Amino acid sequence: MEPDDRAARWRRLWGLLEPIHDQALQLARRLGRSSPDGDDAFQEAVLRSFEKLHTLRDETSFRSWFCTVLLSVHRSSSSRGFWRRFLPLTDEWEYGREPVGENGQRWEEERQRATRVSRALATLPAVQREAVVFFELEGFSIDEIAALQKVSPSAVKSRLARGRERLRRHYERLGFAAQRAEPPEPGTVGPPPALLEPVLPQTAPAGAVPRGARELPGRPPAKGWPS
Amino acid sequence: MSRSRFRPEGPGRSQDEPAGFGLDAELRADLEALRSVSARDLPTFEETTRAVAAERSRHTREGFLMSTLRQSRTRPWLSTAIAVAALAAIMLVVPISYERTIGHSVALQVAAPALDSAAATRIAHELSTALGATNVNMTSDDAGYRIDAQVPSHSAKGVTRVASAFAAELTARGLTAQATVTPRTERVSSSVYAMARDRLEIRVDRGGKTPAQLEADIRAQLEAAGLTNPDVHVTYDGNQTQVQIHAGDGAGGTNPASGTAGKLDLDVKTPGPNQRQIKVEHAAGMTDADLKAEIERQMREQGINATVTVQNGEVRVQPVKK
Repeated sequence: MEPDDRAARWRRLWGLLEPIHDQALQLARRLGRSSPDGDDAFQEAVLRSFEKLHTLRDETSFRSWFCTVLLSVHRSSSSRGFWRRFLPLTDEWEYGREPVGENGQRWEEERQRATRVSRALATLPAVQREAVVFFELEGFSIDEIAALQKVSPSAVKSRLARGRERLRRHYERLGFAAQRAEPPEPGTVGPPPALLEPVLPQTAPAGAVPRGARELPGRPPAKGWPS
Repeated sequence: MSRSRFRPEGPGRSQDEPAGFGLDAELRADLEALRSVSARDLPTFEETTRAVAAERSRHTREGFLMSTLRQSRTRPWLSTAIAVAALAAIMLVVPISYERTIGHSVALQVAAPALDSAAATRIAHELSTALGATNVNMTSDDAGYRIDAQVPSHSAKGVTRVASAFAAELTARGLTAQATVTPRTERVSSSVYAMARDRLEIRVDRGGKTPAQLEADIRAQLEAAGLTNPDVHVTYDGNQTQVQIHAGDGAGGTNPASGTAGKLDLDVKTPGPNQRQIKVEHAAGMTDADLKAEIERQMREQGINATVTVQNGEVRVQPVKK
């Protein structure tokens, strides 16, 4: 490929990527174990996109096309998950610009929560993790996820249900289920104050629906990305 | 007042709510936190373009070694695979010391002080012929003669059988003889690969196999030992199995099986119970004595002690019972 062609292709890619840059980067971070992991995956997805840009026929579908590339990168890195357990653990969500005071406390509490749920998500198979992140955090519809994952909507529902159930089991193993029915005895040391109050507004429970199929409360409305 | 950390108080929460609510709320809150945290310190679009450009530049600039080192950090399995490969290479290339059998020494002690040297020389010559010895030395003392023969054969069983039969034959002639066989070894320093190459051992089990299956089994073992295109032919005749192998190493080099240059020719025949086969080409001008001598030679080689008589072309073999 001639240098001019490459430059033109990069210009085209950057032009398509700019409107969805922030959302795509956040998606990469949420799929990954940490912010650096997500940033690395995003950069790799950009490089892969450059190599495969000639396969993009309709530029209006760039968003879903790039998500597919990102999912491919995510699955490649997930397949290396077994070996990653031999790497030293790092703090997954560490940031430098931390505010002080009350905001700093909330900042730190969110970081701890994000670390905890990232570790829980990391225990899911890649396809379940993708379904949960797209549905619960990105606000994608079942049909959109089905198109991205190239499976039927019912398969996506199944992945969602199984992913949620695994997340619940993970949290139960962390001790959450045991303590929800048995309040601490008077005089005993309770949980850290930061975890006592819900951080964000809660919604009503879903009722007596089987737990595996129940949606998590408070799912954001489907909003999608800028196309 | 104490309360569960996963049971937020307030309106909309009652004791009858399903048990998963608190857990789900915690999970929901954690996911929201992840949403919030993942949006922190987000690189700008310009920062991303610069980072990608730097990544591209690094890909093109760094050499093989740096690229491998970087990949080994992100792909720990690669380090493990490289370590295993390096270990295997060391095992194959780094020389190790081991003993290799290069032949056998046969010491034949003939206790016959009255034996003249000419007769002793004839015995030494016969022993050399029977064993296929490369070097024969004879010494004499008050007790008799000692004949030392160097045999290139690697087969201890075969050499012992022939030497014992030869000693028994001498004893039958009235000369007290005793044969001792000791392996000749040399210590060599070579790689594991070379050690394996020096040793060719084929194990076949006829049980339940057709000749074609047995041929395929032998051929596979020979090819695994580095012999190219071995020609293997197996025939069954009652209890007898005849195996013929012709193979070369393809490079004209030393053949691992025979130690001779470039070619392996084996003709193995497993006899039935108590059965031996001797083949003599009756050449023109061959006398009865010649025929007798040839049969006796082959029988000695097979470790058979027998009396052979040939008269007018009729051969009789009378085994000597021990």
